[in-house]
Amino acid sequence: MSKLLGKPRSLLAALFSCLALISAPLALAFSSLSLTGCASSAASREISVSGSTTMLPIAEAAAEKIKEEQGINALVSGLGSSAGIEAVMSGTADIATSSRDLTSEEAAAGILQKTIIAHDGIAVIVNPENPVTNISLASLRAIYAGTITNWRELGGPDETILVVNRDEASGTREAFKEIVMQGTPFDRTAAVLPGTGQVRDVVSRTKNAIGYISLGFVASSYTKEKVKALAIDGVYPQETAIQNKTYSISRDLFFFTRANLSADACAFLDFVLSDKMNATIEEAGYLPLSAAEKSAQGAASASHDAMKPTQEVG
Amino acid sequence: MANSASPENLKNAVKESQPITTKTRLADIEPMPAGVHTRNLKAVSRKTLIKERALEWTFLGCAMLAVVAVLAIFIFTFLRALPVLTDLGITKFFELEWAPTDGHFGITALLTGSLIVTAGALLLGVPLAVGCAVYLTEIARPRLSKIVSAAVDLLAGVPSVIFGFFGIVMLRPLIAHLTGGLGFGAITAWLVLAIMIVPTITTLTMDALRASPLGIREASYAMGATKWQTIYKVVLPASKVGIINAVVLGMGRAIGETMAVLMVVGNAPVIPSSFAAPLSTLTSQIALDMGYSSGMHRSALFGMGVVLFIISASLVGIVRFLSTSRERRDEKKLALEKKNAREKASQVDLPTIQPDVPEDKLNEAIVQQKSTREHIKMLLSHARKPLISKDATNVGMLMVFRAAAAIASAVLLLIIIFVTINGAPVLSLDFIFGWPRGVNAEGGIWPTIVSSLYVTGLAMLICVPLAVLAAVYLTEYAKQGKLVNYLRFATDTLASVPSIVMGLFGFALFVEVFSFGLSMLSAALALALMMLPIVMRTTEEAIRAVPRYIRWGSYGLGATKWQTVSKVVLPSAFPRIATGIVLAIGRAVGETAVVLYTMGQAINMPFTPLDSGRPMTIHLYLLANEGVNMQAAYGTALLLMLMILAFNLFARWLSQRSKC
Repeated sequence: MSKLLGKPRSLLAALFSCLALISAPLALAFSSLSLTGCASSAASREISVSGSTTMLPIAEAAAEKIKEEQGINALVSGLGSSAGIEAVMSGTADIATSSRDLTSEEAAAGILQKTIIAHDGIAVIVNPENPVTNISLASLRAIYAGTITNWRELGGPDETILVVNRDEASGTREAFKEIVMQGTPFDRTAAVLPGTGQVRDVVSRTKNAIGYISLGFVASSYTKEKVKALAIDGVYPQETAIQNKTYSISRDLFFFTRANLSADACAFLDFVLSDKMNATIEEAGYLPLSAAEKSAQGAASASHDAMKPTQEVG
Repeated sequence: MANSASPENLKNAVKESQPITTKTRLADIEPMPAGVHTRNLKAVSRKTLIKERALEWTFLGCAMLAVVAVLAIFIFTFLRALPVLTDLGITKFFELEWAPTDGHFGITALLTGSLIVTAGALLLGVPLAVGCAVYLTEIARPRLSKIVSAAVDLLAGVPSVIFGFFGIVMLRPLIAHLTGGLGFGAITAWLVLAIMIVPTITTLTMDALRASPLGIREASYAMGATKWQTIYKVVLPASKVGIINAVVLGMGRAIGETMAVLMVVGNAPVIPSSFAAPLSTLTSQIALDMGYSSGMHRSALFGMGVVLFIISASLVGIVRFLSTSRERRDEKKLALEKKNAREKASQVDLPTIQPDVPEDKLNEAIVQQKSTREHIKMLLSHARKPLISKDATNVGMLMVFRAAAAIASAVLLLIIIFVTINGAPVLSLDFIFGWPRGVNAEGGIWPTIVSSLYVTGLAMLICVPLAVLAAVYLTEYAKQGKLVNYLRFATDTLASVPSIVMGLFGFALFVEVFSFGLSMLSAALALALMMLPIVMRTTEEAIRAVPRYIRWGSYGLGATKWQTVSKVVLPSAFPRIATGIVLAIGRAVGETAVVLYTMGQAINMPFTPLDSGRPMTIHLYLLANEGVNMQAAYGTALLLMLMILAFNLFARWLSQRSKC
C-alpha cells in the first residue's frame, strides 16, 4: 500500500511536465512579442476587419504590411460580406470588407460609409474539358434558376449540368444575384459551397460542373488543376473589358465603415487606398483604382470624423 | 483533536445505516455512510464541524453545476429562439421550405436531411463496429486484439475536421466519379459519418461484451455450440443492453456532428431527389448561416439548436430507461423466481415411489416417465438437420467478422496514411514556428498552435477542479437516491449536447450577455462545459476503483471524511484521474464548432484571456474550404493529429503505470 501512496509524486511530476508542455509555447509567445518590439509601444492597437472571403487576400496582405510599417494589429476574418456588414453595424468590427453594395435596407439605416477599393469581375467557370465557350446572360440565368438542365441545350454534350452555387453570406453570390438573376430565384437543389477555392476546386475536377468565382481566382499558382472562364454574350472577362464595363458581370469591392472611425482604422483605410497596395491588389487578381478615381474619392480621414488614437488593450 | 470515531458512535452509525445479518459481506458495509458522518461530527470541535459542512456544500455546488449548465443551455437557447414561437408560429417553423431571404423558415427539409444522414451512417457503421468489436473480444488472439483495440481507441480522438477534410479531398471526387454527380450528398456524408462513429461504437460495444460473465460462453461451448452459435445465441443477447447503449450514443454523435457533415453534404436545403444529390442537415445549416444571420433568421437557427438539444436529451433518456428497465425487469424476475422456489419447496410433488401406492397408479407413474423419455428420443431422431452444417456456418460467419474488423482498420489506417504522406513534406521548423504570410496563408502556423494550446489549457484550468470536486461529491458524500439520479441524468445530457449547440450557447451567453466578446475566455468557458461530464465520469470511476478497506483504515484512525478524501482516497485515485484529464485535453484540442462561435477566426497571438485567436482546427477548416493552399492544410492536419496522438499515448502510459 505504501507503493500505492508513493506513486503520486512521480505522477505529479508527470502532470506538471504536461502542463509545462502547454505553457512552453505561451512563454515563447511572450518572449517573441517583446522581441518584435510590439511591447515597446504603450499598448497593442487593434482593429477588426471582417467580411468578404473574396477580399480576404487583400485585407490579410494589408494587415501584414501595416503591422510592419505602423504597428497596427489588424484582426482579419472572412465570414462573408453580409457577416462583415452586420458586424460593423452592430459595432463588433471596425471595417467591413464587402464584395457587394449595400442593400436598400442597409443603405436606408444610414450608418455606413462606403469606400471603393478595387474593381472585380465575376467569371463563370466550367471544366476545361467542356466544349462550351460562350453563353448568354439569359441562358446563365436559366441554368442557375434550374430551367436549363442539360449542356446539350447550349451546344455541349448530352450531360446534366451540375450547378455549384455560393453560400448566402457571400458577396460574390449577392453580386451574381443582382446582375445575372435579376429577381429570378436560384435553384435550391444546387450545391452550396462556402468558399471561392472550393468552387474552383470542384469545377476543375468535375466535367459537367459550372460555377462562378472572382476573376482573380481563375488562374491559380497553387494547383495544376485548371478551369475555363466562359465569355458572356461574346465578351471574355479580362482587365480591359472590366474597366470599359463591357463585361456585364463586373462589380466594385468595398470597405464599409461607421462615421466615427478610430485613427488606426482610418490609417488602415488610407493604406489600402495608397499606391503601395496596387501591386498586391493586382497579384490577388483584381483591378486597383486608377489615380483619377482615387483622388475623386478623397482620403479616408477627410470623410471620417477621425477619433483620437485609442489605445485598445486586447 | 476530538475523537469522532468512538466505539459507541461507530456502532450506532453502522446499526442505523443497514441491518447486519449473517449474509452481509464485510466488503459491502459502507464504512461511513452519507448523512451519518455529519451526525458524528457533533463529537468533534466546532471548527472541524464548520469546515466539514462547508466543504460538503462546496462539493454539492460543484456537482449541481452540471444541472445548472444543462438548464442554462436549454433556457438560453430557448430564449433566443422564442421569436420563432411568438412571431413566426410553430406550424410555419415546421414547413418544408427553408429560404431565409424570402422569409421562409421551415426546417422540415433540414430535419429530414439530418435523419437521412444519421440513418445511413448507422446502417453502415453499426454492423461494421459491432462486427469489429465482436472480432476483437471473441475471435482475435489476445495480442492482436490489444494492438488493434488500442489503435481504435486512439482513433476515437481524431478531430472531426480531419474526417471532413478526408471527405472533400478523397471521397468526394471518388463518389463524383461513381455517381456522375458532384459528389456532395447523402452517400458521401454516410461514408464520412460511418467512419467517424465506428471507433466510438466499437469501444463501447467491447466494454459491453467484456462485461458479460465468461461462464456463459464456457457453458455454451460445453454443450457443443460453435463459436458463431455462442456469439449469436449467447453473447450478443447477454450484452444486448450495452450494445443498444453504444448504438444510441453513436446515433447521438452522428446527429450532432457538424464540421465533417458541413464539408461534404452540399448544403442544398431541400429534400434530395436522390442519394447522390446535395442536401442539408440541421447542424450544417446552423454552421453555414450563423455568421451573417440576424433577426428572425438567427432566432430560427437557435430554434434548430433547441430541436437538436431535445433530440439528444431524448436519446439519453431512452438509454437510461432501457438500462434501468432491464434492471427492474431482472429484479422482478428474481423476486418471482424466489417466490416460486419457496412455494415449490413447501410442496411435495416429486413422484416418489411409496410402498402403499396402488399398483395401477404406480404403473401410471412409470409409464409417464417412460413416455417422456420416448418423447425426447423421438424428437431427437426426427429433428431436421440444417441445410448448412453448423461448422460451415461457423467458418463463414467468422470470416464475416474478420472482414468487418479488417475493413474498419483499413479505412482508419487509410486516413492516417493519407494525412501523414501529404503532410510530412510540409512539416519543417519554419512551418511550426513561422507566421502565416501572404494572401494564402503561406509560411507557418505558429499562432494557431499557441491559440489551440492556450484555450485548451485555460479550459482545463476551469474545468478540472470543478469536475473533480463534483465527482468527489457524487461518490463520497451523496446519498444514493433521487438527487444522484438527477445529477447523473444531467451529466449524461450535458455530455450529449451537440457541439454546435454548445457553440451557440457560448455565443449567446459568454460573447454577448457577459460581453466577453470573441475571446479565449468565452471559448475556454464553453469548452470547460463540454469537458465537464467527461472528466467527472473518469474521476468517478477512478475514485470507485480505490479499495474500500483503505477508507476503513482511515476512519478507524479517527479521520474525518474530508481528511480521508484528501489524504487517502484522492492520492491513490490520482493516476486514473490524471489519465482522464489528459484524454479530455486531447478531445478539447480537436473541438471546432464550439470554438468557432466563441473565439472567431482572426489570426492573432493571444496574450490575455480576452484576446482572440485562431486555433488549429479552424485554420484547417478554413484552408480546406478555400481549397487553395492545400499543403498548409495537410501540414496543419498532421500536426493536429500528432498532438492528439501524443496526449492519448501519454494518457495510456499514465494508466499503465498505475496498474503495475
